[in-house]
Amino acid sequence: MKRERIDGTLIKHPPMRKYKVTEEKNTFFVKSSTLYVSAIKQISKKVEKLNATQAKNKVFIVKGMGKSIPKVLSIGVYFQLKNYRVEVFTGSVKVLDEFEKEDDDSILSKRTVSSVEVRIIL
Amino acid sequence: MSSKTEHKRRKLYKSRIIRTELQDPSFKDERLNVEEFLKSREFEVNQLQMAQLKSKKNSSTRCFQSLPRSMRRRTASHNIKRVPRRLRPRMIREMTSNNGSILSKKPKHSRGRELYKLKRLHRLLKLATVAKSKGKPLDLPTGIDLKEKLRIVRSHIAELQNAKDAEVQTYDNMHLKFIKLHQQSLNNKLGSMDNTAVNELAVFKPHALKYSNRQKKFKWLPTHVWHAKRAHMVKRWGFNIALQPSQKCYRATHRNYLHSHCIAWDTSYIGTIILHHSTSLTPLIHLVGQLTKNEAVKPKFLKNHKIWEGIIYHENNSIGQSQIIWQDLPNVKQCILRVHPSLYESFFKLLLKLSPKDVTVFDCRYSLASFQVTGPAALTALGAVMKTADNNENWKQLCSFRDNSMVPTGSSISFYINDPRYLNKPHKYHHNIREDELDLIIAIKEGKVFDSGSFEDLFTYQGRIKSYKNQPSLKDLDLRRNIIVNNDNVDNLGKTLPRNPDDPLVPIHLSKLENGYYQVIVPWYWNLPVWYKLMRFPEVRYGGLRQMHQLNLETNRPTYPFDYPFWYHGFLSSFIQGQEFQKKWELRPKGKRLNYSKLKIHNLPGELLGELGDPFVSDWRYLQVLQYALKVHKECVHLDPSSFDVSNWTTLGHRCLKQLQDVYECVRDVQRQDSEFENADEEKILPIPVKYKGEYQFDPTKIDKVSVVIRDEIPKLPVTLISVEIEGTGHIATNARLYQVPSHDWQSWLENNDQKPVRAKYLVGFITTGTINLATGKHTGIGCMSHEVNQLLNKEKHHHLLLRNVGEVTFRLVKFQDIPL
Repeated sequence: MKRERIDGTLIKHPPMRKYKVTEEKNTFFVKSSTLYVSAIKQISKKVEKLNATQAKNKVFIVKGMGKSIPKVLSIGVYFQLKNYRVEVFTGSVKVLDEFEKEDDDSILSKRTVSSVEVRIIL
Repeated sequence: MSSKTEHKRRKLYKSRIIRTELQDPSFKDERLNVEEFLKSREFEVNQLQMAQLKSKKNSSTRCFQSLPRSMRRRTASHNIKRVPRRLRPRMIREMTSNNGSILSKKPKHSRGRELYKLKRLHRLLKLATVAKSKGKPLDLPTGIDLKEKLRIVRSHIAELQNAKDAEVQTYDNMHLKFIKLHQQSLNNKLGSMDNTAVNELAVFKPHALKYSNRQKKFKWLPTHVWHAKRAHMVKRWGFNIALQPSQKCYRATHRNYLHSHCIAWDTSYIGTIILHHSTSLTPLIHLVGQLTKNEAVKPKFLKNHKIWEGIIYHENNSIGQSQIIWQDLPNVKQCILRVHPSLYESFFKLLLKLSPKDVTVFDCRYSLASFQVTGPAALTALGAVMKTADNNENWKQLCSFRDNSMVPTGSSISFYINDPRYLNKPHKYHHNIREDELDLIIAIKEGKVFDSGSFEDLFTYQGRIKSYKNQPSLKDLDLRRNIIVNNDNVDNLGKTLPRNPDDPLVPIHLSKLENGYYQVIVPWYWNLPVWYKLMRFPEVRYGGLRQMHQLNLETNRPTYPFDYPFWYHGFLSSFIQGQEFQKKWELRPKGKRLNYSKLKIHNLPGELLGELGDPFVSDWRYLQVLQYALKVHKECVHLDPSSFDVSNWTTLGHRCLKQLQDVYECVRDVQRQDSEFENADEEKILPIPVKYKGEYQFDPTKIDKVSVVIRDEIPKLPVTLISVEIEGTGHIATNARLYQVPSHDWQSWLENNDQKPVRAKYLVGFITTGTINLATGKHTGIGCMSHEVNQLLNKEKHHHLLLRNVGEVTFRLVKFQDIPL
């Protein structure tokens, strides 16, 4: 369905985050501007840290949406080749678009973006 | 040696021993038994770990010493209730075994004359409370005996009774009459009253008569006693404000703000002014438009209850920051302005002067309190304490948000809450609504989730008075709790009390500010109950002014007033801070303090010795004079040298600026004149040497033949706000000096990072706040630099400056970025 055109300058808002303590340890968010090798290095470090803990179900999650989906998948493949079990989940997330105007209040509108979640099982 | 000490010593010795298997059984017949070898190594590793724990445990002789720092209490050594429940049996054991018993002696009760005196004192307090409930607390003269005091209080009460009606009838203002009537016969037992003043500044009335003497100059916030026990307090802007928690918390503050938990501040010192018109908003819009250059009266702020935050102007000069909330309801047409206490009184008087006759100005400084909360758990914590009176699903859902960036900036909601003291302890909403969260955000943005009844009640004196009606005391609530537990069953222990139909509801206003904080405005006497309960929620920490300053630095925001040297209070605060630094410096012995006047900073021929300007402050006056003198000197260079007189002085006794050295000498001359001027009259303060942007009033055509700098004719230097980040290593401290990178040394600085001496004439600004920034992992700072240089550098797309800390000779390269006001 084609969406209606709204005037004003567009500000794209990220989807809502949970800010939980566990999220910090076992989740990595991939942006379209994230560098592939940089992501691999950061994730490997976090995976190592998670592996050292005594948690029961050790799963590391890499998330991405829209343009960054191929990057997330290639990260998944990288870890698959490193002999990790990798699961892929597809889904969609809701985001807000803000159309800002000079004098009047800005308008918010919803949009859905496809997303992917790669689970590296330790 | 007694057996006791010997035992102790043996215990300590044992705890320090790490057992090992030196004679290895795995090595037999010149063969290594791998399995046994591994086992014994495992044993050793375990022993090492155990030893660490044992050593830690044994060095602490009392159980509270092993607690984490945040759980330790000052009185935990003798007060059993100060340690967690699980440790109490051990604590009792330790106290009884440690010579003497856990029970201290019963306090002896007073007898005879002493007892009689105490009884009279008790009676005096009772009477004084009656006086307070009449709305007129009494200041008793000191140095008279109790009997006399009792007599004075009794007659005072009798007087009040008589004068009650007579006095009120004299007020012709309708609002004033209503408020005074309320103040003279309060509608609650707790002494809560609405202290609003109409068309004049309100007079502070301390809640507890006992402490009134201490609050004559610096008022206490509602939560003062709570804070004074836990934080360092500071006397500023007419209030006693928490500076920072007693416990060190620099890293904890950063973590709590960013990852989990939340931090709360009591910001009741921010004053509220309400402009009221009986029928329409038009005169208010006109007035506020005038003050904000028509920024705050845009349609987006007039509808949807959106808050405006920005700069207020008077006669084209910016004077400070303010928040503005518009109230366009069928019955009430009001504009609510919130300003910092340093600015409050002058701004209030200005509003009185500017407002037309039919506009009423209410001073709600002491009738509206507020607190601010920030961090991922902010909304959860607020939801755990502020339970809505009706079943408000939207509020419940909002409380589950942990991502603060989702709630639109400037949006606000308003609702009634129950008395938070009904709760035994705060508990989260268990919310499981499947509805879309984004729909709620859109609804908040469009002002659909808004209860105008509570909004009206909070910002009108009638509503606030209503919220105090029959306000139950803690004793009342405990009685009710007892009845419920006794009548029904013990299962009710610790449950939330139901609301009595007579009990008042509390109107509150919650808004999201530009810096990401949630601001809650409540009636003054409801602040304390909410605060008490909020502090019992496990994810909440409290902060002071320093924590606000720290978080502002982490998000690259200037802090009022410290980072605004172009406003009066910013200039003043840096001056006060400088005096403190100087005092500390002077206390040190001469041999151990840095001699600022002999530093070899600018190691080039013709440069002066010593620190630039006053080493304890960001010396804006020095920069102003230097920049002006340099300009004059530059004009002077074009002139024909033969037209100069041979001497360095004009006939009028002014210095000619022929060379760079003359410029430095000229700055010194002005400094000398300034100090003479200050010494002549101590109360005279120099005018602020800088201003925010704007034109630099320098006319080169006036420079003719002889170029001189006359002290009184130096124009204000336009400056801009910048934030800087260090490139490479090094630190940034407050009052650091900023230099322009000399154009001829540009390459060597930027490409090779070679240290080259820099001349003092390249000074362009100062850092007003600078320290380690945990968000970036580097040292960053906020400061001001000359507007002219800033524009020049931006044009050339150069974003680097040189920074030198006070008292150091090393220059460091920093990257700068403009901050809009």
